[in-house]
Amino acid sequence: MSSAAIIHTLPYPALEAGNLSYPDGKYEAAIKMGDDGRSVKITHKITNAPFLESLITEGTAQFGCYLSVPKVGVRQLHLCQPKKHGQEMKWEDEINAEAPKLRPVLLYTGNERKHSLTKKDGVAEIWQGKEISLPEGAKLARGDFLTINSTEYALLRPRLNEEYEPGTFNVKPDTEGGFYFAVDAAPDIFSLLQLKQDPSLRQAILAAVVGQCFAILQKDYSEDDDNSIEDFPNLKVLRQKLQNELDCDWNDEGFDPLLAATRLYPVSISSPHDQEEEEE
Amino acid sequence: MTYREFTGEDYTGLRKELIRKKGGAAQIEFLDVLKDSQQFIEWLEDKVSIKDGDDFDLVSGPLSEDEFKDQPEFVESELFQKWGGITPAQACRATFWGYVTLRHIQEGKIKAHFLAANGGTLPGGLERIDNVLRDSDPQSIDRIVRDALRRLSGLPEARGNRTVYVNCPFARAWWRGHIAKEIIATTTQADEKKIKKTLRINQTYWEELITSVVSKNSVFGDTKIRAALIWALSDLLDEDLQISKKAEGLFVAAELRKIVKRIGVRLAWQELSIFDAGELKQLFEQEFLATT
Repeated sequence: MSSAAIIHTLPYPALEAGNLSYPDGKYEAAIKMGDDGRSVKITHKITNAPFLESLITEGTAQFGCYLSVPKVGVRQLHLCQPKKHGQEMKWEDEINAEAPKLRPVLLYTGNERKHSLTKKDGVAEIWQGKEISLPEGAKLARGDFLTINSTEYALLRPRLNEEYEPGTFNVKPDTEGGFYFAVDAAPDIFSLLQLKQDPSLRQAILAAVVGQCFAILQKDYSEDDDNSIEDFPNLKVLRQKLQNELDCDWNDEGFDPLLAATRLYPVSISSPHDQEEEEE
Repeated sequence: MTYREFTGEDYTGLRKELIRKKGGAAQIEFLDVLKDSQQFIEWLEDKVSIKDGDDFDLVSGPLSEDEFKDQPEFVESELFQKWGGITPAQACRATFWGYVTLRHIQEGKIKAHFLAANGGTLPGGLERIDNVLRDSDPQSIDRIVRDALRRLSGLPEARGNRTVYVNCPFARAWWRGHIAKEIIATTTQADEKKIKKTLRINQTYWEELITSVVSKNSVFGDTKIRAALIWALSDLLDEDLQISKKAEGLFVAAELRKIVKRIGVRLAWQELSIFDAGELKQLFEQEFLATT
């Protein structure tokens, strides 16, 4: 597909991957998960797209985020307040069937308007001199999909350690600002955890990390310890998940941390038979 | 409130074991026990443990095989009323619906062999099982095992999680009730009887509709958009809840797929959920539901 074709898929220039309408434009969205595992804070930033920036300043374009949980038929649009770049999104337990998918977006929320594009708008040459019509609801910019991580992953904070040898990592608990496990990881493991590449290998790594977490909890957060999980909602959610999915607790006699972790994160090894399409 | 259900590990493992080898010993054993409800209960209870939770109500009267396979509207309504406390997160799980179906067998509301029944007026479950066990054709045995698993709870291993919403009668009752309730709450002016009728046009139409709802990146994932579209479709039914001649073509699964696709194209450049349901209904009637 030629660059001209990519640009003209929509009736107005849009800032998104694969669209060259704003050659220097960038849309960045940062996400921070809440400790309760049911909320996120998102901050949005658009640069080098003057036309879009002017609409944001004017209050006729609003940042927002789609939250999707396909398994329960939920797709919600949460809009920021006009002129704001940040938002907090919450969702109920009753739709929490799988990790929700998020997609940041910038929407035109003013009345339909016409605009003649110029070089000053930051658009590609092919748009300059053209008059566009912006309908209410025009999708001016779309960020990349962000997958919210599982409850356990919300407990993990990968930290890059370039001194570590390839394939190595370490797990330590930290209670600064809420309970979490710091995962010091070599660059290859750090990249795998952050960028969610190679799902099968990532699953295996996650099992190993979570196994270590359970061992720490078993040792230091058992019923006899002074440490309590009452102040850490994400730990309470993890305990509930263990009970719901495996009917066990790290306080149980005979609890095996690594076995429990691999049961929560079994590595999937598919065979040709499992992938066979059924004929109706 | 969290209701009792099968443990994921046990039940998923059982399903995978049952579809591993066509015509194998596991499949034959399964069909054999399916002929007798008590045997099936004991067999299943032995294989799968139950996760703790609250009890739920069952359908009031026993159902015939036909009533189970294709539940009348009054049965679905009764079930949804009783199951109002179930959350969507629980209602998308095969582990939950498998246990619901087992409970109905345990209490004699349905018989185990109903799970193997064919659709429509074709042979019932018991007859089908007897025929395939006699003929021993692996493909036929496998087909009935899969049918039974789909009716029991849905079979995500084959054709994805949508089989839960499409093929398990109890799950289907809940999801139809849930979507109807959402639509009434979102639109407030829609005729409830017409909405329910639209969701029950036929099995293929329901399959197309619910598949659109639960697919990734689907336009139907948005409550307001699907409410507006189903409302618009329901208004094409007459007062006797019949489809008018000129609107017949719209109540075909293939046509629904095209409509959803065309709305998707529009959604690519204009977010529609910022409009209210009434505005969306008007838009859909004018641009996507033109009748001959």
